[in-house]
Amino acid sequence: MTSLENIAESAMKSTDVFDFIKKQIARHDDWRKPFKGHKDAYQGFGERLKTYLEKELPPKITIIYNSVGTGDATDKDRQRKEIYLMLIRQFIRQVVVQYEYRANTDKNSPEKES
Amino acid sequence: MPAQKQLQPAQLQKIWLLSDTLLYPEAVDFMQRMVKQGDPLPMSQVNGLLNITASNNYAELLRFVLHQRDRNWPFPKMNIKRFYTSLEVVLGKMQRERLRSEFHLLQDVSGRSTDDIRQEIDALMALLAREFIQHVLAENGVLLQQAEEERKKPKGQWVGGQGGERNRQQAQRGGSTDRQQNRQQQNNRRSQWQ
Repeated sequence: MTSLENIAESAMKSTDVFDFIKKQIARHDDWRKPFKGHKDAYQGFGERLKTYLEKELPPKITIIYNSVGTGDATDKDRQRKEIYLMLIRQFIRQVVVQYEYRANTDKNSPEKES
Repeated sequence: MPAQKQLQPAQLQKIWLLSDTLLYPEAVDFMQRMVKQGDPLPMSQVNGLLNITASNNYAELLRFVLHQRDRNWPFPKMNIKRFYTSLEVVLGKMQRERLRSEFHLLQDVSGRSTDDIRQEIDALMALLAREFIQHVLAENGVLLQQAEEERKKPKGQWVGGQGGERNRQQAQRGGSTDRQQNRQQQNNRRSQWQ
């Protein structure tokens, strides 16, 4: 998770993050383990994260670009790329925070202690 | 060896943009097509190719790709020959056509020497090839892992995870499962003769 956050923070391109996620999917069982009971139960964490970043996040770029973009058509692609990368970073930050929060609260829960 | 030509920040920005918007989907498509014809690239080849791309020397990379393409591969490793043959085609087209007319990456300054232009092409191609190959190898990693999962799977059992989803998608696209079964049957036949 720390590596994921580091990659997202330092990446110059969104595809650097996607490549990293794919490498993790290939290397680690935990990134492939399916979510029991979820509607997309066949998808593990890595594939779900990749799908969200690749498919569900891009429509939000247009909304943000339309409200804060400079409107300079020659620079449109670069601005959209920047927005995309910032959205990815922000999302991954939140995923990592949530992961750390859940990992620690689950560890300290009375059910686990008893 | 001559020093690597320094690219302009605007050229680098453009390459990163191209990597995100064009090279990534093309690399994913390239690798998926390769796997439809045979196994993914083994880790030994992945490591070799990664090392060469990291050197940022396009001439060296091309030499490596051509060498691997022209090697006398045994039949079970023909997927490696196919991979390098296709990779050379992609890189060749990028250098001959796309660099100038599609990507518009070459600086249009009059009075430049041929040698200067050639150095710039090499520097641009080293970066573009690195981007493309990195995306190809990331996709290959997932496909390789998926193939290993398939091999471990007892016949007729569904395996969860992203492999399961990919298999389902491939089956919908047409005939991947049949191909895997055929391959399995061929292996069984081969092992009977050994």
